[in-house]
Amino acid sequence: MKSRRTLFVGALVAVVAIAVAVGNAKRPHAEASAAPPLASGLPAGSPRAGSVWFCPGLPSSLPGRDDRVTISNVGDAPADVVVRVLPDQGQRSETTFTVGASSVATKPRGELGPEGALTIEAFGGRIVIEEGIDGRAGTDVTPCATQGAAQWNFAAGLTPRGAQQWLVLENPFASDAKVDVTLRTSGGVRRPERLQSFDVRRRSRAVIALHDIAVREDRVAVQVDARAGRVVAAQTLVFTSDAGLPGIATTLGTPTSSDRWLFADGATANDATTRLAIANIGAVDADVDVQILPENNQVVAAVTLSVAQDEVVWARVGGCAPAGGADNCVPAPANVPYAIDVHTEGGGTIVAQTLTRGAENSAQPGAATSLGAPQPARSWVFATDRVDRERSTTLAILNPLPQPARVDVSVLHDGRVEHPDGVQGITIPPNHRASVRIVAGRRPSPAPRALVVDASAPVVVERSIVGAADVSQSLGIAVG
Amino acid sequence: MDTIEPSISAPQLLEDDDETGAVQIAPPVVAVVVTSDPGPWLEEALVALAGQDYPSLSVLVLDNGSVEDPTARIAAAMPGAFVRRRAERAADGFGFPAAANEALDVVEGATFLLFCHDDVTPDRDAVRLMVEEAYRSNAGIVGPKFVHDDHPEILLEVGMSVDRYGVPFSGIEPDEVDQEQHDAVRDVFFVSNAAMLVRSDLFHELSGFDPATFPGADDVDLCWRARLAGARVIVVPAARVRHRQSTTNETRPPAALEPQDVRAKTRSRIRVLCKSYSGLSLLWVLPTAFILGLAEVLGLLLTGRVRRGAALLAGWLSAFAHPGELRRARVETQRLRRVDDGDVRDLMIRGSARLRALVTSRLHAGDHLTEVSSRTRVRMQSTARQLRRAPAVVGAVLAVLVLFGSRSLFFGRVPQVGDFQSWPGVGAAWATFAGSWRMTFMGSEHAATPAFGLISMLDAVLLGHGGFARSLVVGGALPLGAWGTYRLVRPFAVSALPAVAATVAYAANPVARNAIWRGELGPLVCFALAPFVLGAFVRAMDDEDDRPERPHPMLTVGLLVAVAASVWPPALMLALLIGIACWLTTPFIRDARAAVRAAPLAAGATGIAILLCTPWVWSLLGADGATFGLQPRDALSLGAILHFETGRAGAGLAPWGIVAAAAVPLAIATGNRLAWATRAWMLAVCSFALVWLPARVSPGASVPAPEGVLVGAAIGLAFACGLGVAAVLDDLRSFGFGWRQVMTVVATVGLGWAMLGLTADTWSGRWGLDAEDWASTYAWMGSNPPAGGFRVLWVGDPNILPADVKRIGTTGFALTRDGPGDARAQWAAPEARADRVLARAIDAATSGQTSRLGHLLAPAGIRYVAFVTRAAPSSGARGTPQPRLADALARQLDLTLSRVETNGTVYQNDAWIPVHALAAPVAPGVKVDEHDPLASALRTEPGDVVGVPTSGARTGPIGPGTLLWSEAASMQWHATSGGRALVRRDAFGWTNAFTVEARAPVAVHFRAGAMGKLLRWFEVLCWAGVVAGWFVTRRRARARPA
Repeated sequence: MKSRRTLFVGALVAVVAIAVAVGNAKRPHAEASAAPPLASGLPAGSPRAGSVWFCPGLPSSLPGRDDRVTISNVGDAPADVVVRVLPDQGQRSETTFTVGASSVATKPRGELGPEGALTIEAFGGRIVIEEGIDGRAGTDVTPCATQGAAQWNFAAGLTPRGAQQWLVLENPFASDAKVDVTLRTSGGVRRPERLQSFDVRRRSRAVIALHDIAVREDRVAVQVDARAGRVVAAQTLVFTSDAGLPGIATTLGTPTSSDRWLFADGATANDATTRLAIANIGAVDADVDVQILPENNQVVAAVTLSVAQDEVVWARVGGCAPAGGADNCVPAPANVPYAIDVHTEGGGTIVAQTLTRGAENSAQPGAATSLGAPQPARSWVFATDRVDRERSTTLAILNPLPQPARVDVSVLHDGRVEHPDGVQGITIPPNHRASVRIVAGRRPSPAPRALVVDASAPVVVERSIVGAADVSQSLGIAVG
Repeated sequence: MDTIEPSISAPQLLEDDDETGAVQIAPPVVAVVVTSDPGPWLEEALVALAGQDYPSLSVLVLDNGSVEDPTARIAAAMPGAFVRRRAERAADGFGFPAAANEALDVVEGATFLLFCHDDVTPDRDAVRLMVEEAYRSNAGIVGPKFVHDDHPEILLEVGMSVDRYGVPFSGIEPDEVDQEQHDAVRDVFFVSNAAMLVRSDLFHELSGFDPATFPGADDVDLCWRARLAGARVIVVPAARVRHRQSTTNETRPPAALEPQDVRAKTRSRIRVLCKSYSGLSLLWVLPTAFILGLAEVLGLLLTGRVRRGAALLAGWLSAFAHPGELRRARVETQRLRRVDDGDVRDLMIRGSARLRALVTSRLHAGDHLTEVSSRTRVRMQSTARQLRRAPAVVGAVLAVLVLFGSRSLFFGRVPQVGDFQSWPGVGAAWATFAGSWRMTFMGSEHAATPAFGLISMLDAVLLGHGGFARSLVVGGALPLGAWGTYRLVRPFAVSALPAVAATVAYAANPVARNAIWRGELGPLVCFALAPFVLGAFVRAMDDEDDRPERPHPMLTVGLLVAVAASVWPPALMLALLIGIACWLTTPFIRDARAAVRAAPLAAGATGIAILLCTPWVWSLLGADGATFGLQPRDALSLGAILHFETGRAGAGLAPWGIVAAAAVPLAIATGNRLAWATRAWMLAVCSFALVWLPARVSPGASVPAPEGVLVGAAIGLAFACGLGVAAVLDDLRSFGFGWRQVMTVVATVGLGWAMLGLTADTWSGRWGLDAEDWASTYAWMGSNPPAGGFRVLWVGDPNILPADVKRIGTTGFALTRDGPGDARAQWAAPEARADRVLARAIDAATSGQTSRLGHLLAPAGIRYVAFVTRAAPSSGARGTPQPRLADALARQLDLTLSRVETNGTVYQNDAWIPVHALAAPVAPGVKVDEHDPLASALRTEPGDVVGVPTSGARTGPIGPGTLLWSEAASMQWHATSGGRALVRRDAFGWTNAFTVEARAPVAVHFRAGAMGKLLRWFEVLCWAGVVAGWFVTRRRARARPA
């Protein structure tokens, strides 16, 4: 019995020893659950049946507006579209219509209901939606959002004389939202009391005149944090004649922060100035490298900018003064299109945004702003390719990866999908950009068309629409 | 070559002892005396040999390179001795084996060779006695008893042993007086070559000594090889030899320097190990020996003996300096092998000879041990007498603790946390059990668990006091389990203390407290019943009389397992688990008969349980894991499992005390108690493995509640604890003082420690269960119920929702009706199509594919979506964070935030449709007839739908329009209105719709098949039959003479 006892105890000890050894071995982990997708102002995936779009709209106080909403169905089935207006005043209204397959519907904003934000639901098809303005006040087209988010950021904002900075917050959901608005200005971080726990009622929007709160500030970066609920945030910069040529620059915010931002479309034109705003929203100071990638493959040295925590830094791009000139200027070759790669050393989190201002006769008149893309994608869509008083529309395509990309551009309108010869099989070498002219000339525009850009490798695509007196820059809608 | 032929003309050895009067000639013996620079003791040795009474003894003196020729001295002392001189001393010193091996060549015709040192003085009869015993015992090698040369009353050696690592051990304490206490002829591992009688043929077969094992291991090596060859090595204490130990005492120049000696002896010892062990044994012996060697080196370094430590290490290295030669020597040795290592090891000592020698020689521990042992024995006996009063005291303290800890459960309200949902009334519970349509989720035609029948019966017995019945079950589980453990162990000792100890170990186990804290009714019931199940096994397996009592334990186990399984399906395996544990222990306790008894008992009892749970149990076949109670859970570490750390209860490491206490019987129990302790541990090991292995094999897989699976380990260890105490009381007295007593102290402390853990958890009065629950917090949902009724969708971590759960990925969801619901939402039916539609809707929202979750849920009558992150509002188990779900809910356009708590959020569905509703005859916004459930719901607006008040299954006057009946679509739903059957069709592709053409009351009912009703009656009859059979067999068992 003694040996049996020993045998069992030995077996017991052996089992425990083996279990301990196995337990100490590298433990197979359960497949980590996918991280929650960051709510994106832009669609993260393909537009699907049952998709919803949120268009915050422009501030109602803008003079001489000619707002419009462009709804493109890039799918091969018709889509029923339900547009609900969250009016600034009055009753909610609802409009339903159908957009055929491979078709574009442009609706004047006034046809859809009173002023306010829009919640647009689409059933069937593959819908992409942009809203914009094309009138005396300026020209601008920007995508609507597909998701609400708890945080939104803008880097480029300013309130000097003649400039207005509007923040539009839409709460399309059934619950009230409370938000905190933080302003990173040239005078430091400000958290205006009236913008803390700011209530955005359910199914409504709030329009905030930041230029009345941060008065005469050269730099105003905005961060919106929702304590409760989710919102959609857009920013509109309005330049009146007091600030030079009037223009409007509107953009949806970015719900993400990143250590890298890519801009595909940039150019140094006569009588135009491009500036890059970088806001450090991370917890540590950041050294930010700004690399210009000219289209003519010229090598330009990167410039490193130090951006302290909670600071916003502006840098002029191109047109730098000779040595000893102003600080924060990133050299760029004159009259050569370029892309910009902005990234931090050490993984700091920043938001980068460009703002272009130009004279009337410039290649970039008026004002335009663009938030970069934190990451490239293989497929991009634009709901429209033109405005009424069109001068030109250009697609800038940046290949930021180390392998070449082959790009095809398709055009959709009136139920047709076209593949124009000149824009098929465009090969873009690594870390290069290419320009594709879509519309040229000052002739009346026919019906707008949707653009679909498909690439063999992830790229960044930005559209530039030059109107009669204003320019619009906008990143495409990444769909794959 | 010169040879020596021993004289055979000596007087006869033995008396005439046969009838023929033939004379037996004494077998010739040649004494081989190896000398080297001998002192004056040489003559004394030769004189002693010359004076032997053995008639056929010749003496060969081998001079091993002495500086001074001793021939003249030898001739003077013993003229008849042969002398042979070696020119040079062996290179490694004295070289006894090399010299002795010359006997292989120079001695012929001898039956025995007596190898002697030159400093031994054998008594006159020593050689004769050894030769006689060699014949009597058929021994190959025989050794005498060695005593001190000057003080022959002091023992030096009486045969030697070695430990597993080749270190010699004599067992003789320093200056131990010879009182004939060792005077028994016996097998020993080896005898010293100071005086060693070897059968000549054996010596030749072994090719003599291995010179490379000198110094220190030449005699060990020879005897080990002799044993491998099948020869016996014995000691004959009657043959006494005085040993001067001139080398050891450094009276013989030159003495080897100590470090060199250590190095050489270590090398010799390792060489012997390498030669003699089988390959398999070497795999563990050599590493272990090396580790011990390193420990010794460390000790030497710490005590400043650096050179000695270095020499020890150098010895290890030098042993392998000539691997080819070592391999050849090993081959030669293994060629001799006729016996296994196991047989050789029987004569080895356990543990470390060095440690024993240290204790024996340095600390004089033998005397102390003897004294302490006897004192301990006396103390144990007196303690045992005192302990007879202890059980009552300990039992009373435990009872007070358990009752105090459960006071709020008994005298207050059991919060509706987890499975502890309020029980329906007698009629409602019975209707759920016997009805044809289940009310879980979207409804199901699958049979309900017998648990509803049991709830109904218990409610009825308590005159409809369902709340008290629930309190009894939840609060009484721990005391009931403790009582069962007491009964389980009580027969194993006269004293009640072992049973009380087992009770303490079981009650103090955190498994039950954690099950209460998590609101796990099934594991709790399992905890309460497991001791009775195991007790039935014990009685059945220990019962010598096979019949007719066998049915009684089988019925007992079957009934208990059926009750446990009806509330927790994995419990269906409980009896099988015990049976398997019994089978697995068979190789260790070699009691196949018991295992044979366990198998039919386990199988039969499980069969009875399945019969009692029919037809419900058959619906589990092919069902989703959640129906079995399987959910994805955080993997527990091995340490957490071994000390039952599955939740907040446990008081840190206190449960390790239970494990420590349970180890005692494995060390000291004997007989039946050891057998049951082994089975109990096997049960615990199986239980631990069932919790630990799935997480290792398939991380993230759905597993049953660990508190339930660990019940097997809890009862196994508690049983072992009880058996350990019984062994302490009865068996420990037979052992001297040693580690067993220390272990007993550790076990006692361990149990006390575990009890402290239990005490610490008593404070809340409900074992940490939160006082609040979601049912109370969200009771407002059920006030002012809207016409037509509604459902609540609970979403969150599947382990913390207050209803039975289905899963989509790691997100759980459950449905309750008209508010937070009650126990009817428990024990859900297997997942059906309607459940999968719900899952798809939730998945669509979570993955960002829809912002209209409310619309998608509307056909199910879901008015509220409750997202909770803890099992209770302010405390309770925390669920795994579900950020995607939280974000998805906040992003829905048709869900309005209704109420926000710290750990819960309720959304109201703006698009909800009542469970029983009427759609207008023309309602284009209600896509009733579309077949895709989600597509149809997505664009359905509730504006054209009104709720329909119902009484039972009958509505008030309604119509015309379409009656929407939000139960899972089934053709067996029927409706009549004004005496006419209404046409049924699927609504939204997954519920039911009836066209009501004129305004009138509508009666709706589910028409189940006759087979379903028959099966339910069959189930009731089975329960009645088994319970009656249990009483009958119990009476018979009691009537049986003891």
